[in-house]
Amino acid sequence: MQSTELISQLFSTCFAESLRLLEGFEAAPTSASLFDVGAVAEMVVLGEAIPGSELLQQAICDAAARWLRSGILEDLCMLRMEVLSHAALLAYLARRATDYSAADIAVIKRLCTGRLLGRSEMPVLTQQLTAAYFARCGIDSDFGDMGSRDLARIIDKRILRARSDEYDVMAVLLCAQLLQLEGHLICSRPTRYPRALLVQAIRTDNSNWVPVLAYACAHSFSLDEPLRGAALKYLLRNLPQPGELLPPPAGAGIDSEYIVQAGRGLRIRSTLALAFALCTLGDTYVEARASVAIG
Amino acid sequence: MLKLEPLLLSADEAAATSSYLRSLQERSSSLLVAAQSLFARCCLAAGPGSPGMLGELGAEADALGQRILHAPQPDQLGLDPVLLIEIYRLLKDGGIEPAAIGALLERVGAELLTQDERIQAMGRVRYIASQLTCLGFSARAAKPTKEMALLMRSPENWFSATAADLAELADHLVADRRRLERDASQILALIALAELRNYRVDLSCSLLRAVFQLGEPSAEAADALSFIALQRRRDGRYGFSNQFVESSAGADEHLELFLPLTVNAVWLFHVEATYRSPLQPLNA
Repeated sequence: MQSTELISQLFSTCFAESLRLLEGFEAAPTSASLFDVGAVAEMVVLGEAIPGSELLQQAICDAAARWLRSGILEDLCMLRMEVLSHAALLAYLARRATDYSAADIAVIKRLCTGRLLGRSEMPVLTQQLTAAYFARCGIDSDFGDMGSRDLARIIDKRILRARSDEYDVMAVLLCAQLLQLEGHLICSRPTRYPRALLVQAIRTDNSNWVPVLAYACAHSFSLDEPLRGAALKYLLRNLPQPGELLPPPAGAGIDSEYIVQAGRGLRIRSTLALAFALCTLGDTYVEARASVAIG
Repeated sequence: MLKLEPLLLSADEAAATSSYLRSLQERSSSLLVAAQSLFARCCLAAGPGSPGMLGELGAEADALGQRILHAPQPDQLGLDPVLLIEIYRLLKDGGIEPAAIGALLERVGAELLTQDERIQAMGRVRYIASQLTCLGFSARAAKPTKEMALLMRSPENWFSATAADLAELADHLVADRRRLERDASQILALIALAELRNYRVDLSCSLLRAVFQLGEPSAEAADALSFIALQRRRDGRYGFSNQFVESSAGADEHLELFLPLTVNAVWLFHVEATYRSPLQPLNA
């Protein structure tokens, strides 16, 4: 057992440093400072039964309640999904503040009711797709019942989020692969999110995304006229120069390091998708190949 | 499609939004803020569960009309006549006729008649003229330009139209009051969804109002409505700000971000409720 004096000194140092951290976040919230606060809160909640850290606990709970009431936590939840677990922890701690009211959590509750928060589809898709591919390699990676999930509900809810990064396309492609492997097991296909994303890509002139989404929609989801015609027209207007690839996606800088490092792959992917899309969206290529074969 | 019932405005929520809008008006001397706040509160008061609120707003509308009429250069205030027209229409529908706003609209109608053909063919001007005519003011809606008439007939070209052209298109569609075909209606709703993901709420809501007023219910339109409904905050305002981006010095987030978004939200809810078919609930 260490001396009480040492432990008290550690608590005291952490308390003083944490107050500075909380003040810093409150003055200018950044993703880095939120991560810092979250890191402290994680340990606080795990050590809540240990005497000596009450002051620190209360300071974090009170700060969390202020941030919940002022809407900062809601703003952060809407901004990036990766901050959600820390935001949820802070909302939980806010309940212990002396002036907490149930109304403080109403907006976060509404966002969960609207399925905008609370369930991340990327782990679900990744888990299902990984299991589907490994199953074909003779590997059983399904250690636990994944349950049946409505893919359309999982994917189409992304439409409610105002954002735009490579994860948007990744979700569509994961889903398309899953449909290709296990389409017979899936009762409803997402339709609105992939098409809305395609329209968004056309309207923001994202020539990297349009071919990928146009081909994915046509191949796996739905692509009725007139969106098919609009996509084809866009592709034909934005062909790369001979020998060149399509440009990288706009705004890839906000994505994860894993995605950013794959810049060249994303260009090849989109150029390949362009070729696939031109084969399938317009009928001239397929017809020309067929007539050559017949001839 | 999402279940919308929990997201629709309750009477308490409408009152909270109304109170938020009034607080913005009270802290600003701008006539534009006053007109936006009043219009949005009229939309809320015109909904079910808000009896008696329109009477108070009638007096406020008259006072606002007087302030505008007595401003040194009323035509230089940067006020959107559509807001004044909609305030007048909502109050008139509730049995109240704000005389000062009526006098302003007489002026607007007369001014429109003096404009040249090119101006009269613009979407916003045609929309204003069409609304004024419906309310019994003397105005004349001109025909759109050939290019716009062509765009209006070609929904397949709407996907790649510029934001300005789409906003113009929405005005023309509402001015003409012709039913939208199913395809056209779905395309507008899909574009609105895509623009919402870019957080261009103003443009999206213009398109969605046209969809709800003239088109057919669709899953895309219901999703877009949910998107807006989910922007609601505890104090009644709508919108989420990016906490990681520093706002420009002196900028008032409430006036620059939340007020326009809140006005657009309650206007959209009002239009949707007005034109919703009783036979087709949103979550069908």
